[in-house]
Amino acid sequence: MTAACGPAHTLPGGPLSGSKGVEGWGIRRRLPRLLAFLAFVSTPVLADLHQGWYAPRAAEFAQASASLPTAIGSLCAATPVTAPAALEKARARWLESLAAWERFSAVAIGPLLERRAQRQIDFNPTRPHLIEKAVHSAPNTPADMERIGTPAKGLPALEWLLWVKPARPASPECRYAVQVAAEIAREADALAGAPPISRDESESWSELLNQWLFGLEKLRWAGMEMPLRRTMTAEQAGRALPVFPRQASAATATAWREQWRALRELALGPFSLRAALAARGVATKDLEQALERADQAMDGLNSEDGGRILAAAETLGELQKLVETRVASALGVSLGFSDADGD
Amino acid sequence: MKKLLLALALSAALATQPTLSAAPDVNAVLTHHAELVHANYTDTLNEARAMQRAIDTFLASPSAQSQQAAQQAWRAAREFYGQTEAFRFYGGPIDDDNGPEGRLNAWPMDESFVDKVEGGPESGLINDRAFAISKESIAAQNERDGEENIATGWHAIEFLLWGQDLSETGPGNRAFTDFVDAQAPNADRRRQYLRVVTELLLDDLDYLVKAWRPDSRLNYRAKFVEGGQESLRKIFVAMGSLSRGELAGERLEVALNSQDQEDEHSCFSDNTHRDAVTNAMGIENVWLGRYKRADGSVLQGPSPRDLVAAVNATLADKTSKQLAGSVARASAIQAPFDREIIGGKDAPGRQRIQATVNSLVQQSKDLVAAAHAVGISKLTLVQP
Repeated sequence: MTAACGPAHTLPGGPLSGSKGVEGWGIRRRLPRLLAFLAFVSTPVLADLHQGWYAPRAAEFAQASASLPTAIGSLCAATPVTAPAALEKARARWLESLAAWERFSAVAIGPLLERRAQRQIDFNPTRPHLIEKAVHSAPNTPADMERIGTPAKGLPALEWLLWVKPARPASPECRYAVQVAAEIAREADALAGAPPISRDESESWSELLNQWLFGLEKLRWAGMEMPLRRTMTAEQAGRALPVFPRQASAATATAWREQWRALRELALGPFSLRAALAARGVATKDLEQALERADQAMDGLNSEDGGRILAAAETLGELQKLVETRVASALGVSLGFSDADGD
Repeated sequence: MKKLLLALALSAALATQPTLSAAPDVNAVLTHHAELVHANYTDTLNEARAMQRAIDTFLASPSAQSQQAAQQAWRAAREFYGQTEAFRFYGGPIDDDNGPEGRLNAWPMDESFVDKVEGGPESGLINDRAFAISKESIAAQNERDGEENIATGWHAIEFLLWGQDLSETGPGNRAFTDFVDAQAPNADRRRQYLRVVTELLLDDLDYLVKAWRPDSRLNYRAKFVEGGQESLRKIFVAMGSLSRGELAGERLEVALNSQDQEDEHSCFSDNTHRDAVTNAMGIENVWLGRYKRADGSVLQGPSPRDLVAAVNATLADKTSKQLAGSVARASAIQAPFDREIIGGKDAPGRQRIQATVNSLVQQSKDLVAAAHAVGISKLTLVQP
């Protein structure tokens, strides 16, 4: 790792973190930013991000999902005697695929972002009435599957077909589940085989930091706090409870854990926010401490303990705020817009 | 080596610096923006009043002709409201904690919450004669026990005027006799509901006009125009959030992915294609500081574009072209939208929508760069 030029500073990053006004655009004002930019582009932290981070996780997901069509096909071909074991095997393959997917997609960078694969593979919540409609249409080919909307496909639809209304052998539901699994495997292959997206270093950094924040927000709000708050509101109204993502398969805690593991690694590992800060001579202690607190809050978290979930969400929120403000500022990255900005 | 790199970078930066125009004062941009917002909400309110008159005429004398006139008035008013959505997403009057956005434009709507549907002839608040219909009561019911339980706003009115869209080729086909006593159960309550929900919509639009009127020292506008860089940041947040998360994402890409009418914004009237165009126009209006009023006159003044052009004319031009391209691509989307989203990846309608999504995503990136050029680097909804 090369040493950074320019002064070392603690977060927030002193003169390099100051925002430009609409006035004062002289060279004297630009020079510090330009020096920072040159330090930034000479940092090799991102050079191997695709090879070191994206590719192994894409390969892992492709490998896991490749076994799904066969496992579900075995369920479809099972006899009444062998069906329970076949269903358990299919569920096990789904759980492996899910864990690999959560690790891979927690921070959507490169081809994963470019192909908009999250909505293809992981449309949440699934829509049972569309699954039933799709089963009725009996798709047989990839082209047939293109005409079916994502709320009836992907991992959540398979979860529904394996847990909520388990497909029986030789049923139309089972044949449809094989098609869904095959489509997931095809997309996983495409993601694993996709070349790196050509971007300059600053664009790559911007994408990584923004997507890291989007991933953290997805975990904190969409995955944890929002469903819990809706559950609390529903309980007060005496209505049926909304559910956390992956609750049908009892994999909610696994999903949270794998997402957090990926976020943590991209914050502290070889290709990480900490590495980028260190390369620029910026102290990383505050970031490390915030990550440590989040680590403790996420450790052993399960979907039964509402108090701990809210506390963990708050701790993740503090981490989010730190990265949005001081880390982004120290790295000179503008926070952009994401899919999460609508309502 | 680093000295050489620095020299090259400096040379490149200076060589590519385009001719810069004089930057307008930020306060002038904010003042003009407030004027534009007020004008757009005023036009929307006036068009909604015209819609209310058409609805009153329809309710006084239901016929296919008076129903169509009311429908056309709804479409006309939506042309202006759609543009105002570029004033959302920063906790302003429209969508702060007390803002009426959820009452005005919530969707998608479970229509059975309000009125009869296919297979549910007695469903909805209208057919529950124990439910007293008033502005307060329907506002209290809106989104109660579920986001899909929409009781108010544009889409509740749309549903009452058109009915469920059960056709693959056209909009909903509600018979005007639904509003005629002895020809449909609870016609009296249906008339009352449509009248009341329209009054509530006008109240909420009037509230927005007042929040932005120029002759008050205590309203939101007065604070906004004195907000300096933070108010400018809000303008960029609104443009970018509508571009990416809402229009490109929730309104177009989700529908493209799902191929499901449930994800169509104005599904009863099949007017979703115009929602996309007017949203894109609203963003362009804000960027250019330009707005074509209902009377045909054009409001034009200092703009975010001018601020950016003063420091980076190339970026300003690129952003302007991208925004214009998004409007053009959205305009190419054909009605009915619920057929446009159907098909394989090569289906022409899907490609038209995808082209719009791609353009909007790119424009959101351009807006980030433009904001950065004027010293704004944090475009999230929370206070920096």
